[in-house]
Amino acid sequence: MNILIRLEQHILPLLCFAAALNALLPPVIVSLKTMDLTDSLITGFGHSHVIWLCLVVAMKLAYQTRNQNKAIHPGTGLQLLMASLLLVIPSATLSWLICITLALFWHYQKDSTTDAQLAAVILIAIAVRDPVCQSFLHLFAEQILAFDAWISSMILILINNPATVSGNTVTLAGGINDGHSLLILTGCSAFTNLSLALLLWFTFTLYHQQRFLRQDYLRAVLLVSLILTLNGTRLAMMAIDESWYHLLHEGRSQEVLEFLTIVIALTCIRRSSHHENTTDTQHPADRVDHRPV
Amino acid sequence: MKTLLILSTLLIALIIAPYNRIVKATDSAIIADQTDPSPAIPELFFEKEVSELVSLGSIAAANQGPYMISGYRHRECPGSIALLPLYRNAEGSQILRKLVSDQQQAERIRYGVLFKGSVHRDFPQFAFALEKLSRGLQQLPPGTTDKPIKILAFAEQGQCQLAEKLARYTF
Repeated sequence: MNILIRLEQHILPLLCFAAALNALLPPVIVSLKTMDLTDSLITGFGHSHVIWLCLVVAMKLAYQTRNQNKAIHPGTGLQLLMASLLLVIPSATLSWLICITLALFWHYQKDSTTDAQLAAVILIAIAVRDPVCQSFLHLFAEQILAFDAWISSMILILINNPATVSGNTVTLAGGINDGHSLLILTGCSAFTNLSLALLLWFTFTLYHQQRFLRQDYLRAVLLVSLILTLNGTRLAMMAIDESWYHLLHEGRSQEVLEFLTIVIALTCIRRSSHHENTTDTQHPADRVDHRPV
Repeated sequence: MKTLLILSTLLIALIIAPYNRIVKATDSAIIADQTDPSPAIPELFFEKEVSELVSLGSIAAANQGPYMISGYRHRECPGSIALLPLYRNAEGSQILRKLVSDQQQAERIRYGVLFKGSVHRDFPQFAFALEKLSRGLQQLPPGTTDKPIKILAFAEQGQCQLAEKLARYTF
């Protein structure tokens, strides 16, 4: 009976994480079917390691939440049953939307602790990223890829290799490799890396200090600039010649790029303030920042 | 009653829903789609379907990726067309502008995109996104298969209006 009471008290976080894992499941299955376990682990089971890292942080916050949830109302129970029934429809976007709805519900739940609210906000950020990225890459692919091409051409100019840009194609002007053009496709765009880096920055900043300071936004601007430069440099080098292209596009280059993205994102996080400095019972309105900004 | 409600909610969310996702994910069509998208319009399709056209062959648009360019010429009218099936979004729509160009005949080459029976000057990003969303919703019921959207970038030379003739195959 005790287990049932505990399940009832934690049903909302359980359903939030179930919805998120439900959305992530198909690439994990495909990864396990097409690769061995080591390769699956290295490639993040078909997802960026950033997603798993952020989920772990949200789970940690949810786990350390004090058990303040009261028993659920039968009406709420029916709503949760409806949400779980919707999860049966095999759609990642729908699962993310259900995750967002449940996390909002969890966040605004009466007597919700700070940690629970933070876990819910992080889950919302994870869930929002995928559909938003997909929508942008469908609606503005030409513009996004043309911007990537423009950045890489600027970097090529900086390293004394002027290039011409036509849409999402970068061609080095003259030289021994005349004729080699780089076509930038969606997978190589900085947009996805940028969204992941910002998600990681958002998650760890919230985890460390529970709110954003003015300096954090400056760090976010620095993070965006560094990620755009990193990806632009990679694309520029790939545009130089085919040997660079093969080196930076094949093998473990994607994992190396992701590792660098994580390192850059973690570098842009303030570490002087720690999550442990604040208490769980503190009301959000009481958390006034007295540090100079 | 409340116990039953909680248990059924958890049973559905933690067992039935993931099981359903695994079943859908192990569907061979989805796995194939993850690795190599199958073309919405296969090679030599137009030679078989449109008797006035003769295939000029196919070439890969890049040394990697799914993009293949197919060329056709009209049997009687002096004109030809290069076609490139597109996939995810507008990422491939500029390929023909780059590859099929002739400095002397640049003005006589017409570029565009064939989608839903119409000829578009540029990639119809909004209409394509809506169509993707609509297809996504149609594929939600179990047992439905993924049907790729027929969208083709083209580069046409001559006055034969080949693009207009082929647009109806993109419905």
